[in-house]
Amino acid sequence: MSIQSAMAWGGLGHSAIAYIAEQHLTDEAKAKCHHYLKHSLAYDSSWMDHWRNVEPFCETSYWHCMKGDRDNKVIDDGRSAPLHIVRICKEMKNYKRLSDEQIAINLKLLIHMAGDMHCPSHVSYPGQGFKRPSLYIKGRKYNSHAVWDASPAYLHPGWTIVDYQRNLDNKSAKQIKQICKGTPCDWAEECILKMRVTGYIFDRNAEFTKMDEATIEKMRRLNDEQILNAGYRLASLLNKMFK
Amino acid sequence: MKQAFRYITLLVMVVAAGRAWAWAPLGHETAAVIAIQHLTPRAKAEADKILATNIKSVSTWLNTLRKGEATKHTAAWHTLHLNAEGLSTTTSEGDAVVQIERCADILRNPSQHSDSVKVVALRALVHLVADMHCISHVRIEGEPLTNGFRFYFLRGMAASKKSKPLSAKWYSHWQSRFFGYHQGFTAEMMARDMELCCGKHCEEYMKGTPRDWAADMGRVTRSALEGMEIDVVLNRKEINLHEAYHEQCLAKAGYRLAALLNDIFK
Repeated sequence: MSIQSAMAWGGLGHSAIAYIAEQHLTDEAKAKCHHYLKHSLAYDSSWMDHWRNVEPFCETSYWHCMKGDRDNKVIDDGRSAPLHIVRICKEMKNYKRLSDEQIAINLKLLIHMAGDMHCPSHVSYPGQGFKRPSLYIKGRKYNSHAVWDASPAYLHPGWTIVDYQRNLDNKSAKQIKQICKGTPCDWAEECILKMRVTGYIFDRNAEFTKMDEATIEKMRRLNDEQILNAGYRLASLLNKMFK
Repeated sequence: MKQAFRYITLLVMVVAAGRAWAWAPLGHETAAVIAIQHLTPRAKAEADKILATNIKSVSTWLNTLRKGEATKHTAAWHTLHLNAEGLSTTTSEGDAVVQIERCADILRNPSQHSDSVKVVALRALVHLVADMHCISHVRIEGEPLTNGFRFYFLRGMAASKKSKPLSAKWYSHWQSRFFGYHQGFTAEMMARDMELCCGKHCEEYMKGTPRDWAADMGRVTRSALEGMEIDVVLNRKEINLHEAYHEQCLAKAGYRLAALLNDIFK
């Protein structure tokens, strides 16, 4: 396994989400993010994956996922991505009291977790086990986790993150407002519900290249919608933070 | 173009091709995009006129020559050779700085050369300024590790059943690993990020000559080699910290390419 292959949404998905978010930041929020990060949002979008096994960040290794209960509510097990997003947003209300380094770390965590909570393989719920099918792509087995981690690359082969933004980022201001309505916990609830419904898109051990176009289109629609929603919602969090 | 290839063939005397790895195409394109943003209007116009395109489009061209029978000797041009003091003093044809100086000389004296020779010189210069800033292209006399070595890395901080050391090579580590950290990036985006993280050093980086830059790369390479040995096992933090070297070198490549072209076409 290569050093960068074990990432949620893959590096491409996270970069695409962050790049879409960046296009929807206010000038002030963008300037603040660049000032603290010393990079673009997209560049630092997988930082949390690269540093998850390094102290003092090992604890964050458990913050990439979320669990839902029978009513699709987020379970607070101390590890849930949306709840850490809420906590960081609260902490950042007084960001001027934090060190520049802490602000940068908070931003990097936020950028990544906003993506992860929208990744289908990072959502679990009661009774999910048997509905988590793996997939074969060109003879290589992708387990139920890797199927969606890698989906931004295999569902749109050759797309750069600019292509993702150009092709997906076409919602009206009204639609974006609707997508961003609510809190991270509301978004999490929506994701958990969506994952329950879409848990049956393809059969266990299906071969991707032999899939019918309708099934691939369903996968593509879910992939694209989650990436776009994550991007818009990340921007809304940052705009509120730095307004 | 025939004349240009003859130039390349004749230019090089006896050169041991050695092993020379290219920076990832994204690296060359990024350096060129950074440079474009720092070219004077005059330098940009001159370069575009010679190439009939922009410098980004030709930034990886020199790599294609290594495959040709008549031009495979150019493989040695991609490497930077420093003496034991870390200084660039060589006059050997098989050295990036020597070739950069030669190309610059052609471009500074345009009336003495045909259009096709100028095209080749500019294409080579664009590529080699980037290559000399890739740590795996630097060879230092008395530093055998700069010839390349194998090491291992951990996904975490310590080896375990879950995290067994994985094999890596010094060449590919600097050539492509950190571009892989940023999947789906275009050269323009990578260039913007290098500006964000290193832009404040632009003026400082642009100072000097290719020989000065070579000595600087010697210092950077020695610093990156601290604690390294054949088969050493690096933890994830040590690997991650290398990215700052990579960013610095990429930014330097772009700024210095602009500085050199601005000087040539002033």
